[in-house]
Amino acid sequence: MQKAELIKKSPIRVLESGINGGLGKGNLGVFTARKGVGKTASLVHIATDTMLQERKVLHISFADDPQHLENWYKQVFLELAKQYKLIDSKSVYDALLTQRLILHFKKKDITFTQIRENYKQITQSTSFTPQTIFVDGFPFENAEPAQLQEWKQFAAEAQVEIWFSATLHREDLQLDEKDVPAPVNKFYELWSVIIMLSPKEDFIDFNLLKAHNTGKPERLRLKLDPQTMLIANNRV
Amino acid sequence: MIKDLEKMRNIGISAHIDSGKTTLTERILFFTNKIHAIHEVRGKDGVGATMDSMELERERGITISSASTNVEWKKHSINIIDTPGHVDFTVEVERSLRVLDGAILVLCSVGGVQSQSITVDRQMTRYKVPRIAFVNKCDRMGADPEKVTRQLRDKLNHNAVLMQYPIGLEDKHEGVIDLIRMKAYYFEGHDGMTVREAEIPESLLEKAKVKRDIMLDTVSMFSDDLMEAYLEDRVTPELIYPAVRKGTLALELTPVFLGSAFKNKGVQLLLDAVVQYLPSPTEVTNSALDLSNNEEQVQLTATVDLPLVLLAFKLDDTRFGQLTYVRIYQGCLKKGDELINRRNGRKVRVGRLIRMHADEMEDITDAGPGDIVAMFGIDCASGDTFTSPDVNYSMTSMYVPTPVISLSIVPKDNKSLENMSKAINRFCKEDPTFQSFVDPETNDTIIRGMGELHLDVYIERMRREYNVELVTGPPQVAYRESIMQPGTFNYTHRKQTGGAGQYARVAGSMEPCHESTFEFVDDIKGGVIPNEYIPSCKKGFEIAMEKGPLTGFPIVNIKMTINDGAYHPVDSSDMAFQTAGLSAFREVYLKCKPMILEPIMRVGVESPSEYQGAILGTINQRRGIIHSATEDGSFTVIEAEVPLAEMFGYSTVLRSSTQGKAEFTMEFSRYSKVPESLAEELKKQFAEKQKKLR
Repeated sequence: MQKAELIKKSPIRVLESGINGGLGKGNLGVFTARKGVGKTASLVHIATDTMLQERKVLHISFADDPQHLENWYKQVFLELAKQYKLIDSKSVYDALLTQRLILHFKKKDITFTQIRENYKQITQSTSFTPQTIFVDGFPFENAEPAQLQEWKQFAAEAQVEIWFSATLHREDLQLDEKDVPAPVNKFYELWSVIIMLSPKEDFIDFNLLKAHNTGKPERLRLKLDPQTMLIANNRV
Repeated sequence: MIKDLEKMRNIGISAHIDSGKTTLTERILFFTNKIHAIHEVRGKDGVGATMDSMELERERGITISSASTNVEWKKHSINIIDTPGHVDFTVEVERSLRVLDGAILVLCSVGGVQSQSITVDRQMTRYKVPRIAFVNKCDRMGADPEKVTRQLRDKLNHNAVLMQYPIGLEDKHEGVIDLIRMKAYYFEGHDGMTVREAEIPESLLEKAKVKRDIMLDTVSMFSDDLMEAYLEDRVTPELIYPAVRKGTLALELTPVFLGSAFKNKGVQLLLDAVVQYLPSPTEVTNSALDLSNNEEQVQLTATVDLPLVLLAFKLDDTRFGQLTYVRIYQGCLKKGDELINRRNGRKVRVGRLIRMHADEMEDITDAGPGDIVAMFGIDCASGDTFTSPDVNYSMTSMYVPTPVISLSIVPKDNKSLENMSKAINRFCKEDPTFQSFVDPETNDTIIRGMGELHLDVYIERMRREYNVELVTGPPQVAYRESIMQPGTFNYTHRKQTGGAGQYARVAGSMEPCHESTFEFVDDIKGGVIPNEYIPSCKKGFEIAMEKGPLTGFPIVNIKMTINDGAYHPVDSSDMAFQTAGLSAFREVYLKCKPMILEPIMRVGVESPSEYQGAILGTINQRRGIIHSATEDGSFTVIEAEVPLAEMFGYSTVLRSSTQGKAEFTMEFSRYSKVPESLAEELKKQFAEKQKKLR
């Protein structure tokens, strides 16, 4: 399969059509689930899809180190290349590497000003201007809405869309009246898209809880395949 | 002189340049009575530290070659293998690591964990070498052993724990408190020879108690007895030692010791720790490959009565001939023994057997398993395995990276020419990443290696040790050629010019192949090319791949399939099919969109965060791809991939743009297609060179 066809057939297109064409510049979206369910896998798959379309991706991590993430990206790509029988996958992969930058913050107490400063340095001293940012391991548990508001403002200024991953720490799932779990619900108004990953018997369901301000969203026919850790169509 | 195995230690001292490794080694030799006076690495007396036996190393204050030396400490026999600390000498470092059972990781209490330490540490983890850490230079301005211990945890992912607490730091560094015995130790007398045990000074007692608790919290995870005693508040040193040892051997704990080798503080206690916590040869598992049984892995056991297996890990040219350092893995090595070199099957007889102490040697008659000794007059290469005739084992072959940089060297006169070939011959034997050949076109001698510094050091050694006067050419990147798309060929070679004619026809396809350099598939049906000529076709392809038409560099990643052809009962020959293969290759190659590949290096730069922008800029200007930036407090580590061709002189650029505060490491990563504009430039250069030769 050629690259263009792979992009066309990607389940990410289903996701996009389910959320009014995509997340959109200036907006924040979130994947939430318990630890080990597949948030990072989902982010990396969406990021890889973005990179395949020759759009630049910045992956900000507060948790995993870059080597670990690079490995994730590699595995996801190899799995995609295998599944779609991608032609000349080595050259495609080499080209992908130029589309991604990982920014890793080891210290949890880093301020948003420092993150902005880092972003400024990267975009100014290199020709790297991302269209989508993925944020992994952000400490939502202790965060206040004002902090996420800074990100929202930043997304609007920098004209980027930002996908977050948020861990549900508690064993018992606490859903509010809109079926949105804590701690994500604390920032409800700031999210444009909320997707919760819910483990079912043999797959992980994509549960769309908010899709821009369109009232109760329709069911997303998507899942995460635990065998490949890729997003896939869910025809059930 | 076979030693008690339990009382034997084979250790390496591994560290970043300038963290004081050589000084520490020197002090260890001094305190174990191996040398009688202390020399500094950059000593004014011009003698230099004992382990740095090469003049060049003395001048630069670094250690390049590993030498092994044997010392005695508290009835234990310790072999110290001095390992180089620079990443350009990777093969030598890794081969040394192979023969170690444990290591001291030396860190500077001011500089802490730096990117070089990360590389060496990664290699140690790969070879499963248990280690203890020594935070050196506690007498220096800005010394902070606690910070270094934290860095060990954060940057190297060690479960590091302070076993000692400093009595004063910087110019007030007097000694250390042992947190196990809860005693203070001072190093007094001439050169700190006398270790005086005393009570902990009142002012430090509280602090020491806190640190002891932290230590016990960590260490008690490795022993239920200790955990119980800790909870019941009846901990004794005898309960702590085995727990620390257990954690260290499992690579799950890194005990940290302190001192200042230069000021003779803490070295004796470090030696106690080596004996106490690092493994004996019996506690380490080593395996070999059984060459008679399909390279099946076999476990080696460090006992005397098993067949002998030993590894040559280091060669040295002395005035008495070649000295081969070996590690004995099992069995007993005696003078007069007959051994077989498993690389080439040659028999050798052990003549002189010696134990080394830096530049001095002691003759011995035998040595047992686990020991490190040296043999004289054995012709072999570094990395060879020797065994007794009854087993056919080879120690696992080590991964040898391909050289990525080359330059031409021209001796100034005949005497230099002779010495140069002697030197190159020796360096190639010692270091498989250093290679040499003569360019058939220019007749220049070309040397190849892993980086600029790697080749620089060998050129310097030729000048100093072999008195070679030479002129060097500019460094050359090892480009490669390959193809982007498949194609088919059908080529007939026919020649009728009197005498016997030549006839051969080959047909098939050429495809890119990423898994290997060259793959040959014989798909001939019905004998249209007779079996005897199939290897000739392959040979023809191989000759064609030696020199690509675009740049003259080798062609790689090609799969050739032959599926048709024809022969003539009289006019076909080996030569005819070789020529047909060669010509067919050249013809189809140009139809398959040939491209030029260049080596891409994985570059890691570490610096204070304020220079992040400047460093990103330097990488960007060099066609680099930035993979990641990790910010850790005030430090940033940038990982990137940069074409080797753009990395010449990078250290100077980096130094000037960061006031010398950044450091970088570089390793070969992969080959990648060069951009069009550069490809055109390279083709033009090659064409001009060809024109000149004509």
